[in-house]
Parts: sequence; C-alpha cells; structure tokens
Amino acid sequence: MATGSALGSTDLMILLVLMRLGDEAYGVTIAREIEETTRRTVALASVYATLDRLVERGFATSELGEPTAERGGRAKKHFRITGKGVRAVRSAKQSFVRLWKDLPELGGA
Amino acid sequence: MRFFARLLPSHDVDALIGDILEESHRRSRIWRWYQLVALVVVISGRVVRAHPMLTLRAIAIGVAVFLAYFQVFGIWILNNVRLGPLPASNAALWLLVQLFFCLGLAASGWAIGRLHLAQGIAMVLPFAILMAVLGLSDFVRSALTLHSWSMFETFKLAGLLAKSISFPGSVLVGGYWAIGRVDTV
Repeated sequence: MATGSALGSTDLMILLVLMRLGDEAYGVTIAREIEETTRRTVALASVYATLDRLVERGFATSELGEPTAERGGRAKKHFRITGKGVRAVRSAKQSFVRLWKDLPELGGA
Repeated sequence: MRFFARLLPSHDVDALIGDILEESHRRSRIWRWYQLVALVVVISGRVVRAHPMLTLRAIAIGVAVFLAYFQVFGIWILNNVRLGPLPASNAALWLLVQLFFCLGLAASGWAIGRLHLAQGIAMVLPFAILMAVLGLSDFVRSALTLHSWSMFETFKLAGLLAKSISFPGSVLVGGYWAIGRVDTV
C-alpha cells in the first residue's frame, strides 16, 4: 500500500493515462488506454478503485458530466490530474531513471 | 444489469455502471459479465475493508442463525418425522439432507442481508466465502485421501463438490432475496 506521496505501479500508470487523455479522461477512455498499453482486459471497477484512491490522496480530481441515453441516463465521471499528482509522477520518474542508470542490460548508459 | 445493481452496496456507482453500459455496446457478453462480477467483488471488498467489525458481526449472525435453524427444525424433524430404515448410500436421503442444509444457509444469508441493507451483498459475501472454503477444503481433503476410484468414492467426491457450490450459493440466494433494492437502477 502506497503511503504519503509514494505511488504504486497502478497509481502511476493511471496518473500517466490521465495526463495523456487530458479532458477526455473518464472510466471508459482510461480503461481503453490501459488495455492498449498492457494488452490485458481491465476491470472498470478496479480502475475506479484506484481513481477514487488517487482522488482521496489529492493526486486527481473528479467531476460529473452530463447524463447520456447511451449510458442509460447516467453521467460520466471525468478525472483530471492535480499539481500534486504531476509532482508525484515527476518524482517517480526521477527515481526510476536513477535506478535505470548503470544497468546496461536494461539499456541504461 | 438490474440483478447486479441490486447486489451493490449503497455506493456511488452510477458513473461506473454507465461506463459498463456504454462500453458493452462494442464488447462481448463475456466482457460485460466479467465487468459486472468485478464490480460486485471490488465494491464489496472495499466495504468489507472499511467495516471489519461489521463483517465479523455478519459472519457471527450467519453462524447463529444457522445453529438456531438446526436446533429448531433439525430436532423437530428428528422427533416428529418417521424416517424408517435408511441405507447410507440412499441418494434421495442425501438430497433431502443437503436441501435441509441449503435452506438453513439461505436463512442465514437472508438474516445477514436484512440486517445490513446499506451494505448490500458485501456483508453476505464473507459468510458465503467461508462456506465455500469449508466445502472446498472438505473436498480437497477427501480427494487427497481417496483410496480407490470406486463408484461410492466418486459419488462421495461429487457430493462434496456439489456441497461446496450449493452451500455458498444458498447463502447468496438468501442474501439477494433479503436485499431487494430493485430501485437502485
């Protein structure tokens, strides 16, 4: 379980997806993006569990959109990464880059 | 969709159900079922983690109701119904006994569901999982100590497997019957 500003791998992946999707980020598009990247079927409920945790920790915000007939009259829940989320992603990237360094078998210089 | 929504705790799942509906237009039926089962399991898991004491209480209620049912109806049946000579391999008797247990477990599931309406099926699931684990462990133990694949031993194993499915199933049916919140959808 990640604590403080530390991110788990799923948290990091979803925050990166939020950055890539921008205003288009909601459950369906987030799950599609993860499936295209990982080539695995994703449970939307698990995606929402992670998103709700990220919102609770202040790494993302959520906002309800307009209900549509295609969705049985239910609104979309849009997600957006916050400044704290961007800083956490940047910090995670720096940690990974440091670990990558000097590992020629992983392409590190 | 209504069946699954009825199982859910009173959680904010509207957007999630909307996503499943929207995406199921371009996906298979298997994908839809997978998402709906995952929805119930994930949401229930969150509720259970958030309320550990309530979960223990729900399990205790399930056990207490089952014991009370067994005491009341089991003893009544033994005292009032003339069963006659019964061979151990009598399939009809075995089915009747299983039905008796299933009814008791359904009553347990019903009581748990009724006393935890706000949590939906989430409080019923742990007791059902406990029944499944007990049933499966019995099945595995018997399979590992199996002496021969005789007809009797094979039927005994099949019976244990059927029990490990029907017992938790009965708990869930009872719980589902108790919750009865069709207006969630």
